[in-house]
Amino acid sequence: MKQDKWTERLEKHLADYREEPKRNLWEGIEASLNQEMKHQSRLVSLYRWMAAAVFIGLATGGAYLFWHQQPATDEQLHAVITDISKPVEELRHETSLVSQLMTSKKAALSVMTLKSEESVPTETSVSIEKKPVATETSVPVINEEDQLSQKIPENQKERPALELFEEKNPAQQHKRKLSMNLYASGGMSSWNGRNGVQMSSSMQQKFFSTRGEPVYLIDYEERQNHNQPISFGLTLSYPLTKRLSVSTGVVYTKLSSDFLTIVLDHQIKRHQVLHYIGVPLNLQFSVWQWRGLEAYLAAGGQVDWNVEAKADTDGVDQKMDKDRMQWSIGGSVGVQYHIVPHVGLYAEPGIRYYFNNGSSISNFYKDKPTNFSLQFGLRFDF
Amino acid sequence: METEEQLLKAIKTGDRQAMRRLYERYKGYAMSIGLRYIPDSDDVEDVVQDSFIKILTSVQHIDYQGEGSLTAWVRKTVVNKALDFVRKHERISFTGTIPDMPDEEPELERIPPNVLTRMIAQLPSGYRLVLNLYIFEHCSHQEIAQRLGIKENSSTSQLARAKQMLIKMMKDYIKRHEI
Repeated sequence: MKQDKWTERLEKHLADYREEPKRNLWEGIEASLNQEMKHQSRLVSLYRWMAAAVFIGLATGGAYLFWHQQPATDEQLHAVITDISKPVEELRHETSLVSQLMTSKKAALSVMTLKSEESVPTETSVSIEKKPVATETSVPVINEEDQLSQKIPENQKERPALELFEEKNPAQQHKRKLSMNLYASGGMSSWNGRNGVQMSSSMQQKFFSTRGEPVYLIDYEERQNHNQPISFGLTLSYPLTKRLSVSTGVVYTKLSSDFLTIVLDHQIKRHQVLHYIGVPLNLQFSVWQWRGLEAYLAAGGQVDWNVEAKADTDGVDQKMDKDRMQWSIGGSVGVQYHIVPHVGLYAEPGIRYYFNNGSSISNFYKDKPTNFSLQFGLRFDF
Repeated sequence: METEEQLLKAIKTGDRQAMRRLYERYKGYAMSIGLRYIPDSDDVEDVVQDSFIKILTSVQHIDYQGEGSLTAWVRKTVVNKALDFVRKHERISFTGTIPDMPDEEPELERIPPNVLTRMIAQLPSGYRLVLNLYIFEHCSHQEIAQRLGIKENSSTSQLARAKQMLIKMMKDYIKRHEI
């Protein structure tokens, strides 16, 4: 207590003490403030320039990737929808013809093959493969391109036909392997198809209402398209030697996939987007430097956490579990441009191997465990 | 008189005259703090100058929470700058001959503040810092230990020794000047 009083007295005794500096300190303070203001204005310009550079770099890189992904996906899906829906429409109109075929028992509905070569149909050719029951002992499969595009013989033009489509658009040369086979054997009582999926009863009635026998679809399929992952990184680099450095940071990756389930005229479109935040740990070896430009080799591992998972089926949002933690290793060749001495914009094309994380979520990593990657980002050197 | 709030507001707009007014208002206060930490007055002036530069360039971060905010900011900045200076220029030591505990404490009020301030600055660096932080900055021994990188019980014992040394110095001064 005695000590407390003493300290209080000491503090109180000096509380109002003031001593003026002997020198005029303000001149020095003002000079520093002027200098600081110039420095800050330079920094502001630099930050603006950096922000613009980063924006342009990332926007260019991102746009490049998007533009090289999206059209392909859309076209593919469009092709599928066109290919599938149009024949079905046509088929509906042909129901009576099919009935005639079946009733006559002289010909069997053999194969309908849809082969899409291009996405936009500009012309449609019609052909028919019709064989007498007596001569057909096995399921005929006609899915060769030449058979699809064959000319209709004059003597068959008058006969009932099931339309087969070949769609062409000279302007687009994307080759697609989309096929759907409908099998119907000659024997009325023995409809079968390998790996077939039974036709829905409603469809069955439309086609074969008079008979009622089961019709099987072959190549019930689910198509999936995984877009190339896009990654943006913010990386810190620490030099170990003059050329070797270790880097880590935060990397954002977006994985988007489209799934299309085809069951005759039913197409179920599902779009899935997974957002990952990853932490890489890489060793970088600088191979070449010229002014602010640097080329380097990098190798290391990365762990990614799926922070958000979204899916929608035919435009309806669906609940989706997040993916498990994803480990990967890889190597890359990087190019970095130092926009200021310790900050660089980099682009890193490379190859990565993604370990199977055991989850049931289908994504790019599972489809292509080893793949080329491209990452853009900002790196801060220490 | 211009309130702290008005002054701060003017400074935040970049008013150079307001900055000057802040310096004029607090320069004596800043010196009195620095002089307790640093023995050489020229060094103290350098520290005070640095402190004002720091205050005026980081003024946007000052959060006004009532009258006294600006004073507290000035105080905090000068103390930090002074501590940095001592750390850089002196080895933090707890050495010096510790006199026996005097029977009674002198009447410190009899000693002029400027003399008493310089007496504190003459203490070995370790004692000086502990005493300043404990008595004038109201830091706990735990906080002092953290800031100086010493053990908490060291801070307690150093404060007692700092006090002993200061009392001895005060008694000598009173005796010498027969006041």
